[in-house]
Parts: sequence; structure tokens; C-alpha cells
Amino acid sequence: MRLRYIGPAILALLVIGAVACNGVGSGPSPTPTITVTPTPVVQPLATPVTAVFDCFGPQETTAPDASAFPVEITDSVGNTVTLEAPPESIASLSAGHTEILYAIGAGDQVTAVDSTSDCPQAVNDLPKVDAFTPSVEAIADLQPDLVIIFFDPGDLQASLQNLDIPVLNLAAPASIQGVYDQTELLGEATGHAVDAAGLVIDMQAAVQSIQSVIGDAVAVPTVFHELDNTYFTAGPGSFIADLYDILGAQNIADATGQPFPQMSAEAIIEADPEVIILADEDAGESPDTVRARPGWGSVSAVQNDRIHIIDPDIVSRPGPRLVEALRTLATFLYPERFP
Amino acid sequence: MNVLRRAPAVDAAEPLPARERALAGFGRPPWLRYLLATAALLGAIVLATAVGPASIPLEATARIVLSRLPGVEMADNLPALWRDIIWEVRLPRVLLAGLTGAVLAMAGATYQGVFRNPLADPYLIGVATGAALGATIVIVTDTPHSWHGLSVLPLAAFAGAIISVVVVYGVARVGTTLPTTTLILAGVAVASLSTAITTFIMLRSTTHTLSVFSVILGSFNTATWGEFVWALPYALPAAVVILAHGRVLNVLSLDEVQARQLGVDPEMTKLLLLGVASLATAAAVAVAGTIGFVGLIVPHAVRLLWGPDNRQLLPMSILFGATFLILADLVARTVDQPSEVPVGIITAVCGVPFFLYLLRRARVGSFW
Repeated sequence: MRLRYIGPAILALLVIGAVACNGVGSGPSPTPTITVTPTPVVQPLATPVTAVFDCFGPQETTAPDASAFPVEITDSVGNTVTLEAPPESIASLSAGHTEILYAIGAGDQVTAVDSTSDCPQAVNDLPKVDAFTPSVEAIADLQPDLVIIFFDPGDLQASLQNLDIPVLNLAAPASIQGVYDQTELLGEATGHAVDAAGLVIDMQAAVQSIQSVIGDAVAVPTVFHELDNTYFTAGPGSFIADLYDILGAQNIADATGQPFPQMSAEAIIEADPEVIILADEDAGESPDTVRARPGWGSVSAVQNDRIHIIDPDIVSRPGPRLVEALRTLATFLYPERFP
Repeated sequence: MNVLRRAPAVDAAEPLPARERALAGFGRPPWLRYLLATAALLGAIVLATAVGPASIPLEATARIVLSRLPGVEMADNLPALWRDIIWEVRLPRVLLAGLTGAVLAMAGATYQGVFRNPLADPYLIGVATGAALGATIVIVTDTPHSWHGLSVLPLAAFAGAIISVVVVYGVARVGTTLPTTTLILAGVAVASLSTAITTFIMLRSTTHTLSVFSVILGSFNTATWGEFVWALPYALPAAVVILAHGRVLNVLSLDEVQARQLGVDPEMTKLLLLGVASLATAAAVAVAGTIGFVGLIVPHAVRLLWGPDNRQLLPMSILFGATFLILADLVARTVDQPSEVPVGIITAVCGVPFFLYLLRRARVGSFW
């Protein structure tokens, strides 16, 4: 998993380093052309627009603004939590929310995460708990003053609140607007309202710049987003489908009307997607395995070699990396506009 | 469904007990019911090939299929997508569903006969849970999913099923005998263990939950000719062996002592029949996942309609199992198109009410 990031990271460092050297103009400058080894996938980190959030960069943290407290926060299940002071030991049981917390400068206040949180790298040093089969005892033992969960497998919220541990249940947002809203909510809850507002503005600006490059692309590409090799996909009401909507692509799973449907193989072939995005590389799928599937040979994406692999973590985790997700998808969907 | 309903034979059911009815030959000549069941199966194959989420005209479908006959070319001006959908996607799916249904129903009838237990189904001695465990291990570990061109997933499911059955046999054997009670208990215990491990792995690896569920609920969405051809060498010999033992199973159903007196070696027969039935079931589960209810309900439905004589129960179960699963899969891929509904849910939702209806009609006491 993690090896995958090393390529882009090195590439980004090279580019940044080269730009810095040129800027200072010190010493005999080498040939102005920067030769970068071509990589099969377009690297969004190397594009001129800076990433809003980088798992590998240093994470800036800022002191929480205590003057706004006490605050009252209402979570997605309608539960209201009153925080008397900025929380100092947050347990974040959701990878997306962990990323948001670090992106708004609240990283120093995070003291525990769930086992799927792997970004930014700083979380690797924190104690981990399980978000899917959570142990109330293990969480309480970490003495958090705020717990953030994205789903409650049972009575987790009630049990922790019985122990006077405030819990915010924030369901995974199904749209980028939802990510903006939760970013602002987490900003309020942690004393980083200003940073959160700034992050939202940055994200919106980045999204708009991507949209403006796409502009009025005449051809709307049809796309199939493969979540696994039995053809589960993302349809209306899912975060992934919202990304495609924002990019102006036509998701063939729209016809299902369900957020995570399993589509019939023949329905996919009949819809004849122009682009296929594989989020199941972990399961061994690749452009080659798709080409080898019986009956898929005459699908446009196969004929025109437009099958691309994407890291599922950036497209399915609603958080600040949605900008990276949109930029990567845009290069797949509109290669002529994002050379 | 309509196929099963076609059997109004029970209407003629005089207050005779089921067993007597069956032994009396029960009205119509037996060849007629084979003819009808075969016609129903062929009808189901044609219907399921003609209908699907992709709207392809009937006439085009017929031309695409007929063009596969040597020397016939009637589809050269049809879109390549259509030809691929019918020939590479829909037809292998229909036939694989039929093969799986036939195997599960046949194995179910065999297990019920050998165990002399109406609750026996092909998964009784751990085939399904073993297969699910094998598949789950391949899904969550990042092993490459194909090996020398063969898909590893069905192979791992097959291996899991076989290992599970061998362990159950090994535990249950007492000297040269195979006491059925021990066999069932060992089967249930081993199945619980594999289920526990599968569930644990699934919870640990939440990113693979969908794929594991696909195996557990069963699906024909990724059926290929390759899978059909792979499963056939297990299903056909098993069918030959089992069909040849119809009379022996009848004798076994009496009592093991009586069976011995009639020249049947119960232990050898049990081992042979359970062995081939398990092997065929393992192959079916490997390509289709663990589809429930077919193996339990189809043999009982046949028994309710035509009595417990294994000489007709086994072939009729094969024909009806195939027809039933083809139609269930047709519903699974069309009822919510272009989405799939897990076929195991369809077999339960459509099959169980019909089965309960049959049970209710056969109120004359025990049909078993």
C-alpha cells in the first residue's frame, strides 16, 4: 500500500527541489530541462497547483482558539455535544476525519486514531483502535476528551457518553459539500474555525480551477468506476458519484439509483463506458485483467486503452484529498485538457 | 416458477399417503414427467438467454446464438457489443446457473438419502463454509488472483471445500464405519469454526467486505465459459455415479442391516456417494459461491410431488434444480436492473413460499 506513494513523493521532492534551486539561481545552473522519469500514471502532485493537503509533507498545527468556547455541536444523528474548552485529546475513529483534523491544524490535539487512518504519516505513531468492532474499554482507556466516529455499530456513542466522554457521530459525507460542512463543524469543535474556513476556501478554489480547465468540454465522457471485481460500483448518493458529477462526467451507475449497487456485467458492457476507473488494484485488477475479461473486448474504454487505476483511499475517503481525487480523475476523463 | 407450477399432479391427490401414492406409480406414465421437466429446462434456458438487462431484440439474440453453429453466419451486421453480451456474458451465465442448480439439487437429494435426514443439504458437512474461508483468504491477502491463466479464487474455494470435507470425514470415521450422527456433528462443528474465522478475517479487512459477501451470497455475475468448462468434469461423473445408485439409495433408506442382507455395502456406498456429491458441490461453490436453499428445497419439492423413490427423485432433482436456479438468476439480474440482486436472496424469496405451499398441501402427514 504505502510503497505506492513513494513514487509521487520522490517526484514532488525532485520538482520542488529543482524549482527552488532555479529560484535561488546559485552556482552553475544545470541544464534548464528537468528530466523526470515518466511514470505510467499522471502524478497530480507534480502539477503546478499545490495540493491542499499532503500526507507526506510536514503538518502545520496551530493553537486552538479558546475564546470561542463553550460550543454546542450537533452531529449527523442529531446528538448535541457541549464542549467547555478546546479538546486536547481527540480519538478520531474515521480515516477521512483524521485527515480533516490535520488539515485544519488540529493535528496536535489528535491523540488516537482508528486502524484505517494512515494519513498523514504522523498518525502512525499514535495508539490505534478499531472503528468497526470498537472496544468501549480500549477507547475509554485512552482518556479522550472527544471521540469522533463515522458510524455506530451498536451503543458505542451511548456507552462512551455514559462515561462522560463526548462523542460526535459524523456520517461519511456523500458529497463534497458535505466535506466542506464537516470541515467547518470540526473547525468549530476543535477551536480551529478560522483554519477550517480557510481550508474550505482553498478546496473550493482548487475545485473551481479544475472545473474551469474542463470548461465546456463538448464530449461528456461516460465512466464506470469499479469498486471490486464482482462489479460493485458507486452510484447516486455516494461521495464518488458526486466527484464525477462535479467533473461533468456521466457515471453509468446513475441508472441504478443506488449509492453502492452491484451492476450486471452485461449492463456495464451495454452502457459501453468510454473510461473505466479501477479502484480495486488491491484485488489484483489492472487494465490487463479488464482487457482479458470475456465479452469486454468491444467496450470503448478497452478499445481506446482508457482504463486507469486510482488509489481507492483518495476517492472514497471524504476529506481534504478530494482535490487530489478530482485532479487525478480529471486527467483520466479529459486527457486533452490536462496534458 | 411457472415451470414448477405446471405440476398440478397433486390435484389428483386422493387421500392416499404420499409414499403409497409414489409407489403406486401415481397416474401418469413416468416418461411424461421427464419429458415435461426436460421441456421446462429447455424453456428456461431459452427464456433466460432471451431476457436480460441489456435490451437486445429477440431476433438478434437468436441470430447470434445460431451463428455459432458451424457454417452459419447470420450476425455479421449486428453490433460487436451485442454478440459479446449474448455469447460471452449471458449464455455462459445461464448455463453455469443451470449446472450449479443441477449439482446442488442432486447433491442435496443424495445427502438426504444417505443421511436419511430431511434436513440434510449439500452444505451439511462443511463444503460451503470451507469454500467461503478459502475464497476469503485469497481475497484479503494480496495474492495475485490468477495463476498460470487460471483464476485462483475458485481454486482456493475448491481447496477450502475439499479440506473441510476431508477433516469432517477424518473426525467422523470410526474404524471402517462412518456413523452418520458423528458425521453431521463433525460437519456442523467444522462449519462453525470456518464461519468464525471467515467473519473475523472479514471484520479485520473491511475494504474487502463486498468481495467476501459476493462469495457468501453467491452470484453468477462474473460467469464465463471457462468456469462452466472447469466445473463440468466434476459435475458429470458425479451425476453418472449418483444416478447409477438410485436403487441402492432406496435400499439404504430402509436400514443398514437390511441393506447388507440385500447385498449392499452401506459403508462403501456412503463413502462413494458422499465423496462424489461433495466433490461436485465443491466445484459448484467454487464458481458460484454458496447459494442456499436449492439443495434443500428442490429434492423435497420433487419428493412432495412424485414421492421418495430415488430412481426418479435423483434425475428429477437434477432437471428441476437446473430450471429453478436458471429462473432465479434471471430474476436476480432483471428485477432491479441494471443492478444485481444476490441470487441466494431470490432462491429464498421465491423458493421458500412455494415450498411452504407444497408442505401445506401435503398435509397427509409425513411425506418423508
